[in-house]
Amino acid sequence: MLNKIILLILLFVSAQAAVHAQKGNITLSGFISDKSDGEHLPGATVLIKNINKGAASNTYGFYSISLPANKYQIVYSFIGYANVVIDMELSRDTTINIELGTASKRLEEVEITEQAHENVTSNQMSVNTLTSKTIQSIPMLMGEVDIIKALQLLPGVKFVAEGSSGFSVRGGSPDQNLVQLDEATVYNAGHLMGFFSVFNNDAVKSVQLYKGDLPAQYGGRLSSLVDVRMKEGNNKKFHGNGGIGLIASRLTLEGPIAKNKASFMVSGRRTYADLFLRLSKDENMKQSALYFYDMNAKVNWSINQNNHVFLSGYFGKDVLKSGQFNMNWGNATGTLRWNHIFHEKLFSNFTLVANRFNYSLGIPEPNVQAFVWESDLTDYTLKGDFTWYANTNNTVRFGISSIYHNFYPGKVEGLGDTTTFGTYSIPNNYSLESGIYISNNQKLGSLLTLKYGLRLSMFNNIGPDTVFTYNEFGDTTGYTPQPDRKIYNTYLGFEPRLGIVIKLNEVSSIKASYSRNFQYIQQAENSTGGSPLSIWFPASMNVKPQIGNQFALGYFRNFKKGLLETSVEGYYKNVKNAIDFKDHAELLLNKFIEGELLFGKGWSYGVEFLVKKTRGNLSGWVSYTWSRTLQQIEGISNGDPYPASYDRPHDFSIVMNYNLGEQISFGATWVYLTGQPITFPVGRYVYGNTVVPVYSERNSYRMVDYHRLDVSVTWHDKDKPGKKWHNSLNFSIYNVYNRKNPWVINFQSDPNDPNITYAEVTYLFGIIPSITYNFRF
Amino acid sequence: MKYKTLYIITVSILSLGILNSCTERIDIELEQEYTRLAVEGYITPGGSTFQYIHLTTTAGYFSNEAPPLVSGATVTVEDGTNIFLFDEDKNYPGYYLAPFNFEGAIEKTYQLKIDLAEEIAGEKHFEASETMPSLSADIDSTRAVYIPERGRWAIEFYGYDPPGPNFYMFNGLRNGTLLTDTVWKMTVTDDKLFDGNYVYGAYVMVLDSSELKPSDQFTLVTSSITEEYYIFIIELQTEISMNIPLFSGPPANVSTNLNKGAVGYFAAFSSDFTETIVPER
Repeated sequence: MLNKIILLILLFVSAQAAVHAQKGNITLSGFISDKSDGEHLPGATVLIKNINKGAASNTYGFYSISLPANKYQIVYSFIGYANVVIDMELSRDTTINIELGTASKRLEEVEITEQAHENVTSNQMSVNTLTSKTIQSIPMLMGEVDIIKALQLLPGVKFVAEGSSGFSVRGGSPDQNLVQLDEATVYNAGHLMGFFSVFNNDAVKSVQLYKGDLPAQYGGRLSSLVDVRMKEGNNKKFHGNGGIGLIASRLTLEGPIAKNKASFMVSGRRTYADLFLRLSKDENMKQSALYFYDMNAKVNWSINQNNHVFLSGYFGKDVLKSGQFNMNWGNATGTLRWNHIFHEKLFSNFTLVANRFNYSLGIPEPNVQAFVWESDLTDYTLKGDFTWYANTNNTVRFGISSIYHNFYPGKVEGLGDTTTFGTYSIPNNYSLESGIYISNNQKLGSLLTLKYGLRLSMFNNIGPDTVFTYNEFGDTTGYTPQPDRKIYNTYLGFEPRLGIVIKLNEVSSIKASYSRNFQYIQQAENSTGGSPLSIWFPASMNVKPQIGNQFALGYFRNFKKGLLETSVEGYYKNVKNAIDFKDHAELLLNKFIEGELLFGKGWSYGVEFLVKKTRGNLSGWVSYTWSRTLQQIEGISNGDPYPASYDRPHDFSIVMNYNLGEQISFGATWVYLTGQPITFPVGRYVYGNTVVPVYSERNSYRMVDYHRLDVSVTWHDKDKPGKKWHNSLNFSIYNVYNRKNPWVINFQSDPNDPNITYAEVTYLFGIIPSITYNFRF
Repeated sequence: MKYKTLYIITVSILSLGILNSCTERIDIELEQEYTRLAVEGYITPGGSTFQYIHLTTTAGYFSNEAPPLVSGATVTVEDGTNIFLFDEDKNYPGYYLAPFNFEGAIEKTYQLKIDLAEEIAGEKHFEASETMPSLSADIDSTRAVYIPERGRWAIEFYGYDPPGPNFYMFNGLRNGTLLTDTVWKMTVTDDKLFDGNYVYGAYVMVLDSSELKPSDQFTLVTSSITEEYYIFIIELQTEISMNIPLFSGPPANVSTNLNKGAVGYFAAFSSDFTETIVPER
């Protein structure tokens, strides 16, 4: 059945493409890159003025457009860059590689020439892009520039707890976000218990967030894709930049290996709070450590016009030591990519990825209590993605991907000869997650654009494994061993991705989309804050894949030639086979973790408003989201619907950056969110001289509303021609008016008289000033 | 072990001053009408003094006084052959004591039946059942060891854990007086990490230097408990400990072996007593 549908779609797509393939058309293609450093520019636009047709460059900066042979005026543009206009007679297939130079600030404000309104016309909705430069201008906790925290300021995105790198997109849980760094999955995007993210902004080129409406190329998560792309490295000149901050120092070096042909980028970061601990007089403190470091590296090589190779990697680790106890965790990723242009109209990319998240904790020998606890998750991915620029009106994308998951959920082992502890381990398990997709972007006349595609996903559980059966209470009733290297369970997912853009005029459009996603692996995590100790577990004979459907409708309008971008988007989402956990679920070191799961459904809906000023001395955005997120799970709150922890109906954020002349810039952000839903006690009893709380329905109370203002000022030294070394100083204040935002509310009884009980609130971050020195050369 | 680990981690973070955090008391309005029957019951082989059923109702969380006792109920315990009536104590209403001829025995299943004089939350009759596990550990000895870095006493356990799942509860007596007088202070453990092993000096309890002095007589009370009671104690300890958003799941009600919405636990266990003299520091 599914095969037939795919075949039909394939036929339809090719027929459509063929109809429009008129004779006498030629293809204009090439790469668009930055003049100063050779970085490819994704999302830059090409506009053929005479016929008012346009195209945008893909992730690798490649564009291709078909048009009848003629004389044209071609305009290349990208926000923040000066346009390049070429008048040219096109009589056969032509390759034009274009380098765009940065626009001067004054030019930007006054003289805005024609440019395609990409945000209005593109078939993608529910998407936000942040450049590394924008992220850098946002004031941050301890002055540490943070990509994830920047994303949390976008409409429809909420942090899950104060200061956390966990985030919820349109009401989804944090594990429903696919976070990728150069296409490698980052399973735990947090450093230092999640207070800082693993992405070092210095090494990042851009971040794109897709809220539910994922391109058919991607799948496996219900709520979002965070696509983080590393810098390629300057292929013209050797450069460096770095900084010394309150908690961490950074250094990035980049430069050509062979001019205009090959380049490298390497970037490192390390915190040094632990160095101060060594100065402490307290012996315990001296032995303590708490730090993280990370490294990004990338090499790229343009072999010729048709072949480009990229090799990139990330390695990061957190270390925590307290007395005898120590713990560390980290991510590592490696990506090898090969862009190959088969033909001006057929662009392809082949990717090979390995990524790993692991942690280990314990007490080392010779302590008699010595033990070690380890957990690991490793993926290997292979994929091929193709774009066929069939003709002016049709762009067909298709491809195939496969991920081999290796789960090693946990093992505890006593150390030493006299150890009391034996070994307790949860067996490894293996699975294969594959996808095949095809989609077409079709322009019908000048006002209508359709996007229709299908992703077919498949998930296989592979032996050896022991499959337990459970009764209705989650107790095991038996088990079946599964043989080595045998696929013993398979799920198929049918994931249509549809969209329509109705262009009302040059600057406004209405868009609608429907997408369905399957999620086959999820996190065993029931805390709100995002612990580094959590593990992931796959769909299986007992756990069905979670299925999400999202409907979205939006109105997009640009003002003042794209200076102001505005949008309103409404969405409705539902999740089938939603997973939650039993009360007091034991999620770590539990062979029978599937017995701790509860199943049900979830749904969310909301409206997101965004006004964004893209250029000029004052830039930034204002966003407001109204949304609800509810769940209904058998076994929680008597099976009645209850608000999810991420249900924060009102969400308001302002992000502003103001340049006062060439040397000084100001940044400010203000956020407001409805208080977090919370469960409070409605009664108490006494057992063993201890007051025990009795709780009401899940999340039936709320904390007080959250709001916070952060500001920063950055001073740059004067730029003179020929000057090599540039300094800048950033001073920022987190939580300027010292708002006491509750992190947790605890119910305690008085140690002296257990009958006296009281509530206690903990605030995490008061006003925190910080200073960062940055340099570049 | 889990909670201690998490506690260490949290304290480390807070003490490293990474977080500029603070804690203060606040006033919160909570629902007051919720009422259920609360039961604390024990069957042991230890004679009638430690065999009783205590009945109260739940109270508003901020009621700040002892919970209202439930008097005038008919409380019986059946052991499969006989029915024993637990009479209410005249001096301590709400406490229903075992008769003098009653003594708990291992591997027997006890059925508790409570008939109330007045309904609580629409219910009058409640039941629970528990089987007293046989004594499992083959205990050699116990030792008190002073840990200078922490300024505390660790209680070490030496003995065999027989193969198969076993659940233990540890209490401590100092010169015959109970040190672990609240649920928070006692220790419960499963044998996941040492099943079938000789347990060589594992810490089963950590006591403050003020709680134990050199030359005191310390008694370690090792009780074999059911898995259900072990889970009840673990959950209870979780719910009364600090909630840390990084690690804690949502607050949830502590499990019970009583039916019809009643809370608390009807426990049956036997214990071993191992003595040691506390050494010099």
